[in-house]
Amino acid sequence: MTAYSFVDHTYDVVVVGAGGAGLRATLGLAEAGLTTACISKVFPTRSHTVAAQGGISAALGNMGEDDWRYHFYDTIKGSDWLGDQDAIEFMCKEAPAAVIELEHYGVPFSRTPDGRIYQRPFGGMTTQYGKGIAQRTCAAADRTGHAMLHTLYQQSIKNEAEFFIEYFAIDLIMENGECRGVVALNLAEGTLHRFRAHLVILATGGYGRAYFSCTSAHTCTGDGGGMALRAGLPLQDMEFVQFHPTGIYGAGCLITEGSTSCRVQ
Amino acid sequence: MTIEIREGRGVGKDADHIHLHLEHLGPDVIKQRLPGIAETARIFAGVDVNKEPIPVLPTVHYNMGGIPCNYHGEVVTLKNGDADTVVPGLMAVGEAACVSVHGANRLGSNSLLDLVVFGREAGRHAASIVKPGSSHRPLPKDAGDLAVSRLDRFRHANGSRPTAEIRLEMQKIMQSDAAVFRTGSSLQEGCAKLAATVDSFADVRTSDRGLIWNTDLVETLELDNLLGQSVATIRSAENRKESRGAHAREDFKERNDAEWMKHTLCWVDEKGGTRIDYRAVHLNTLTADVEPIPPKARTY
Repeated sequence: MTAYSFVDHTYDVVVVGAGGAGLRATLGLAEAGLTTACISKVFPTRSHTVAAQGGISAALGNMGEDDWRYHFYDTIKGSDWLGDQDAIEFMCKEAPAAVIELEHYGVPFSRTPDGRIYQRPFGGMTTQYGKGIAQRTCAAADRTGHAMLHTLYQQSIKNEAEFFIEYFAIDLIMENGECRGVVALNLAEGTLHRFRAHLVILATGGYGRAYFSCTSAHTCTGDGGGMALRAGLPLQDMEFVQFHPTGIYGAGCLITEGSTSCRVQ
Repeated sequence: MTIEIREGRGVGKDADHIHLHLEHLGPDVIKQRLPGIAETARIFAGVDVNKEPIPVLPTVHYNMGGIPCNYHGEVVTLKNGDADTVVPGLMAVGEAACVSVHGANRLGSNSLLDLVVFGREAGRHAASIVKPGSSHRPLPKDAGDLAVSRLDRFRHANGSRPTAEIRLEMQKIMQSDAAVFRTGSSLQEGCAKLAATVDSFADVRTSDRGLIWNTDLVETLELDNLLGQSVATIRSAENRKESRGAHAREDFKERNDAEWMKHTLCWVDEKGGTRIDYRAVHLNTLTADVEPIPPKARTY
């Protein structure tokens, strides 16, 4: 085998992935004063979160009645009772504060006439435990994910998180069942980097590219899941994959289902 | 749609997609009601929807599954009978993780929320357990060996099958046998075909032996990640003998809470061998602020 040498780094925490989740984690860590490295194989604002158009749900009630308990009910029903209700409670209850925080960080949400965050209806989002239609999805026009990524990246930079961009994370460093760090390849220079950290946070996104047709970016290769499997860890509920009925052959981008119900008037 | 394709009525060279016709609507309706569709079809499929059909097929949009973790973002695994055992030093957030808030099917606009809420909580939780600047133990002597051995093997891989060929084979198997239409025989067929593809990965060939911007190498490392997750997906799908959320089985059309209200845990070894176990669904809430929602039939 060829001899390889490492460039060694030490951080309090290393985040792998710079999409919405990785950047939000990175920002929080840096704000808390932890030395934080964020490793990403693409430039952060090119992460797949950038393609999220619809918006982000939170029971703010800006455009009508709402309650996080309704959101909790909808999410459990949507999960077909496979979701963990403690985690769902946490998510729905924290949602309003987390979204308002995004607003304060600078996400340019669309507005109601009186200046509050605009919210649109979305499939499965109801009021009164299924009786009414909720307007719960906060949107920055049709590029909410794009706006979030830019804001979170800027805030992370402001808080002096360190980015290792166009570094490909290869494997976790495990010791007796404990994660001690991660190894990454600097794509441009071809150098190998060994990151030692108290915590490694995997935020590598989905693995849509396992299928012939997917809406996700070419980068969505489930690198974190691969690393976890090789570290002897299991993956959970992998049989549950959400499909959109009409992606364009070869490209994967979507033709709205509305077109199939459009009638000649 | 998948049934039409599986039963040989698809279109195209590989009969692997179908045609969506819009031309009967007429140019006026298309211009007025579907201008964005017309544009997308023109750019991405090279099709004028006034004259020709759009080639379409069911397309993966979101992975509910992932690395199991608790609501703090700590990765958990099954150890000594406890499937909520925290893996020290490791957390996961976002689509890579399975918290699990989406369960068997994700609601639109809950995925961005998942990223933000659990990204935020991971940061908070990390700050509560790590003291800034606290000292580190030396890394073990073999730290990085696994990564280096895999990198070196793929960099010099001199087999007969290019990475792209193996990847396309995997993608077509997943599309055909682990997509929307699922039944015991198709899933078993898919498991067998995918196992052969995984075996053939030992015979992979890369052509770039360098290290500077070696996309051939990176795509091969990515394919290794994808293969493990494809195996986990199709094996878990074959194993779950019920229909729930996005997992719809032709041979087990009903949800079966008595046997299957549980999370699948799937381990995959480097040869593609799998082991399946389970983790209980948390039917309890976190606080008394809200009552748990007992299971009932999901109808809209």
